[in-house]
Amino acid sequence: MKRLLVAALAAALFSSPAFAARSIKASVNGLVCSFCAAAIEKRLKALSEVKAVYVDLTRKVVAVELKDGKDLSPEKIAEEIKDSGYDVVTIVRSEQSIQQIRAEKSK
Amino acid sequence: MNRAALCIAALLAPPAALAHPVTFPENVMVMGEVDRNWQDFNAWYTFTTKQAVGPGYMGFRSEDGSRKREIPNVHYNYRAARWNWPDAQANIYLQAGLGSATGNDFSGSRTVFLPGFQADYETRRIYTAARWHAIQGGPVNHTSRNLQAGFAFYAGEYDDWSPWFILDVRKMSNLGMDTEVTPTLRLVHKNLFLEAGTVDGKRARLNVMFNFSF
Repeated sequence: MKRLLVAALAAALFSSPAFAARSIKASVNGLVCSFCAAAIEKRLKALSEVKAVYVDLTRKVVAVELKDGKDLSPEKIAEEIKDSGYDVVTIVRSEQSIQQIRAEKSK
Repeated sequence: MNRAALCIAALLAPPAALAHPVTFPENVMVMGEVDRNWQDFNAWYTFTTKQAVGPGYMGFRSEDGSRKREIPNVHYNYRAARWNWPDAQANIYLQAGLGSATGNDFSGSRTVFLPGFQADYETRRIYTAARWHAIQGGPVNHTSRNLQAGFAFYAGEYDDWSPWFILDVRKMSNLGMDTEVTPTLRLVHKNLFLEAGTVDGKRARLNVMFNFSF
């Protein structure tokens, strides 16, 4: 019974958004110039919940890794990207770290 | 073309070529374009997603150094349109400014109006831009046209230095000015933008832009 309770608590804890998603990944239109895309990195890094930002011009991807125990809505990330002048096509939560997302490129 | 027209033409180079005069809210972009006859320095504060404002300074002199003008000014930029495609981006900017012009071919100072227009289209490998600017007020009444087109040597990634070749063509109307052709090497790395070229093979031109946020 005790083990069951611990398992249930752990499941509940890790299924919350703060733990389920390590990052938020967006597919972005207009991402053609690093001088302009630096805007996205600066705006997203300014958010206290953000641990790291990754911009990939080839795959047209912007990914944000969240700090442990912190969360942000994908809508907030999309809003920041839009305010930087770009259009978000899709945006999803991901369990991958920035390092893992970056590593996908070399596969 | 007579000597006076040549002097005036050299005196009045067109305003600096800005990559993107509106960046993102709370960002400041500083830029400086310099060649032997021309100095242009600006700081742009972007205060909404579509609007930027800032002070600037333009200084001109004729090729022989006998005539000079200085125009401290304030500029406003409005991004009228932006298109984002998967592999390309395009923008239209409208510009307006006010300056106080002094020169050694008229006395005192003149208030000048500085309207402008810019349209650009770029991919990771191609850059094109068309600009129109005017400097209008009393004896100072000229317009300039500027076309830029070029290509990247490779599709640089976000963390890379991206080298570009840009051909810059400029012309001041109603001045008998020859069209200036400037082959330019452009280097872009995140928030740093550098350009170096040779105007008609005669004089070097440098252009530097830097983005930073508070």
